[in-house]
Amino acid sequence: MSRQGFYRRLYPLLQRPGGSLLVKQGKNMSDEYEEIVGKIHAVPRERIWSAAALRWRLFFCALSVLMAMEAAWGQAETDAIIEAELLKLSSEDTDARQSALMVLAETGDPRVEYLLEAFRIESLFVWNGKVVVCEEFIEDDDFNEFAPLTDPLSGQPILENGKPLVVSVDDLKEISPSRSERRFAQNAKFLIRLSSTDADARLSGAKKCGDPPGIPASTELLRSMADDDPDVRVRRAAIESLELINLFTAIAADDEEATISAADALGQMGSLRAFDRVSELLANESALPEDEQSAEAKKIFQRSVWAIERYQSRISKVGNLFRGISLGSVLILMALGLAITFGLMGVINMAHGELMMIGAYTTFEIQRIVGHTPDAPQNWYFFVALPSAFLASALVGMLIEVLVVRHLYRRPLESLLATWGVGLILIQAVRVRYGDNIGVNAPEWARGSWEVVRDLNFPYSRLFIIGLCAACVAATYLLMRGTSLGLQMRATMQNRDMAAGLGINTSRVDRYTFAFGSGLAGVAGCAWTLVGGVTPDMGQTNFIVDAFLVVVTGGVGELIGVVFSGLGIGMLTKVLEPMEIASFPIGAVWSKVLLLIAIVIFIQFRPSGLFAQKGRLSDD
Amino acid sequence: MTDRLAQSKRISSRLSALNVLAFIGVVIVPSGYFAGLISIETVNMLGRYMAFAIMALGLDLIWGYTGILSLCQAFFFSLGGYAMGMYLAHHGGPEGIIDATGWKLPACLYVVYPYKVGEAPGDALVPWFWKPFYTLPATVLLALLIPGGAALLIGYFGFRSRVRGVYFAILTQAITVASWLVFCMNNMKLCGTNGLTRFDKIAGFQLTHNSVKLGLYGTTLAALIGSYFLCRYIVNSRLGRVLVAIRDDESTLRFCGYHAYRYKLFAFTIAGMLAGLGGMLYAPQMGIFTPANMEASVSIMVVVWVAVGGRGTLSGAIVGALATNLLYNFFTSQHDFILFTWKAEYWQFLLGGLFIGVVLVFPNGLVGLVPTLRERFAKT
Repeated sequence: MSRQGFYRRLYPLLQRPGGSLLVKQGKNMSDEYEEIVGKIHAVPRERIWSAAALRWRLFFCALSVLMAMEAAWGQAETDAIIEAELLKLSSEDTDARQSALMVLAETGDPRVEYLLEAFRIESLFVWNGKVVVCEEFIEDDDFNEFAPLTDPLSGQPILENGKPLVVSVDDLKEISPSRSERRFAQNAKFLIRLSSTDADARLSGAKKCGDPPGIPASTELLRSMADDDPDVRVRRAAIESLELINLFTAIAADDEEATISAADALGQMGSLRAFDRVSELLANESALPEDEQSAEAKKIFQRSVWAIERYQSRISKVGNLFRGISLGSVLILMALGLAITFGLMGVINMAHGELMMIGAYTTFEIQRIVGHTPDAPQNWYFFVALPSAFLASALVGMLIEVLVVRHLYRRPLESLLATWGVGLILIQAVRVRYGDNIGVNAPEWARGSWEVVRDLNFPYSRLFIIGLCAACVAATYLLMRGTSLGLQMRATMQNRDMAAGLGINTSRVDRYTFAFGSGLAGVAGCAWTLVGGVTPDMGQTNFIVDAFLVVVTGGVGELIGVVFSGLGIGMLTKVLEPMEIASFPIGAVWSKVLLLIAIVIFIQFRPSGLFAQKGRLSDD
Repeated sequence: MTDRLAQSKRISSRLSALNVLAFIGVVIVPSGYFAGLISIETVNMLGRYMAFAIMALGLDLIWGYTGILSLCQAFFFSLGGYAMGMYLAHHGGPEGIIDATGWKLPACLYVVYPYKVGEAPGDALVPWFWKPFYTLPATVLLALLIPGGAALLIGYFGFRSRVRGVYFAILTQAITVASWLVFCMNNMKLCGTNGLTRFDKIAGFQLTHNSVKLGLYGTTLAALIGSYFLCRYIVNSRLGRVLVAIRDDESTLRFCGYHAYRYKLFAFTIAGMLAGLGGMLYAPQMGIFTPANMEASVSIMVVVWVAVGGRGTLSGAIVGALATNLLYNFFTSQHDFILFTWKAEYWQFLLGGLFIGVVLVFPNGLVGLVPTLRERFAKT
């Protein structure tokens, strides 16, 4: 059976002794939580065990049994119900149609969502005693209209002899919903989402149910979700939507007491979705003549508006901070490799962006080989792609070093031209091979976001990049400081002739250093596929200028400078972006320009960056 | 190092190559056009490439002689181009409206105006910064002064804090990218990515007429020759010696009591103004001016022109700009050679190879190739 029916039967079992605890008026989440915790602490240990564990054991038992049954015969049974009810939709009798819609919605089958949508936009037809969907008519040269038919359940075209079935429009009988039926179908769509197995669908359903004017029919289901849904985001959305529905119904019923208590609850939640309505209530209340005003209502509405504003501004500050750190770690990842090839080795590696591009395309290639698609996810592929991207870019980097860069260590400005040329060749080679645009599908674990508290989302992809960035910085630091190769690298970069005199094979060290810096670019490119688009010229358009700015600001020769300047630039950008100067919003472009001006001013005072090298080397 | 100084003195011996170029430009192309051998499109194209050559001369002054790699030459070029473009747009196509103060809103601005006309009546005005470009003399003056002023500003802040070498290159590139972003924005009222279009008349003459195109070609040629002599005067003067000294050893020069940054600032400003002049002449010949002329890659292209021709020689800048652009013109279309078909998409490979080759194989450029080969033959 479907999940919804399952909920319904399980509901009495799952219901807590205190009734619908979480939806009491005027309580916010944390209070509820404490209350529950307090109750749990109040009972003896054995009872906690039995109460909590038994409930879950029961839940899982029921779940597994039901799932097994569903696999065996549930599907067929649902199909039969849906098909029977479908025909009733075409009846002239309003009551029959209404009940058919109800039954369809109650099956909670995800396929019904498509069906109801078709019903709502009047693409449902009766043909040959069957209900079919036709999304769009086609015309032949003589302007005769034909209808390609689609199966209402699978959403796939109906085939006849292997070809899509097309019939004349005259053979179709329209099913036209009334206005109220259309609204019901719309609402039912969200109700079906509520019982989906996909947490994101449940989340969007739970949110939609609370959108004005609210779907009161969903309260029972929302209440059970607020208690039992495994996903905390869904529980939060369900609680919020319940209060919103309470508010809307109370306003509609002109029930002042209920309105006040719902507004108060929403205010304590800091609900952004209630903000407009509550401030409207406040405005209405204040507009009333003095003697009709209710001081109590006004006070509570005002308090709620302030609470929501305060909460949202706090949230947006934390959100901006996170976005700044996230942008900063993208910048650090981009600039880390460059800090080695440019900062340490002094090569103006204009092909750095292209090495990132190679990392991104390696990820794409690995994804293709593994066969990762949104329909058949192979989520581990990314962990193969990361080292592969490193190796591929390192290999290309080594090739560039051997063929071009090796000859230019004493002519840094000219290495700019040569590596730009290398970049052009790489871009064109990739363009000839792959065309202009490819799609990398992020693994499933990098999609979606972690809702820390209500309305504060940290996307998983960004969190992953922050972690990856920290790992790369740590690995680079360990390599440079902790291994003999790192020691040789530093020696060669500081004084090539002296290092050679001490028996270091400097040309080999150069090669490895350059390859390592290039490999880091590859890792950055691989990580970039989680957050941005992949094109052959992504390096030139997106990365190279920013990466150089980060390195120059950080100071050449010290890796730690990159970390500080990357984070600083990232934060500053994200702090500037949402600000306004004289009610003129800054936005992305101007924040970049302002940032640049800031860097130019900064360079006036610290010409060699945050962490300048000292001594004779700095004069080069 | 010392023979670089000698090299720059040897200019007079290379003047012959320039004489040939000047002869082609002044005599052969116009007479070929009048004889019907050269189409007006080719003349127009050569005119555009000469505008590029003026910009390259400026870069040669700052990079080839002073040793400062500037990656915002295309930005100055675009400032000049935009100035002239605004003038041309004022006198452009018939579309557009008359605003509340009686100014005609140029067609290309009208199309991408950030507000719908009539929606916010006070806003649909010709912006103040468009108005100075209504007359030609003011435009010509501003097209030189604005890039010059921008160069002065960038150079002042850059050189004062002794931002050098690589850092200066990156700083200027970042400035170019930032201003490119700004020029691409629709609500800057600079016509966004569409650029300035719908040009019609310059000083009352129809731009589409062949004689006007020929006239523009002649003007560009004269400007190029004038710029060349200006640069030659600069590099042969005592000031030019100081510039070369900055390139070869700035620290020693500073210890000798010279204020190196004043000389650098001078060279950088002149370079910016030359680029502005180039842009100003380019816009009417191209018929459109878009922010694409400002992209970071264009500035690097200018560096390659100079490198291909031979840095540190004025003739090299001109030869390089013309040669690379003619190559571009030839190789970005399909050709059937005997053994294989050349496709337009191969151009980037050739260009990339040119970048690498000019650095690794012939660092003295085309102009330096002749003496190098001569020496080699003399040895054998």
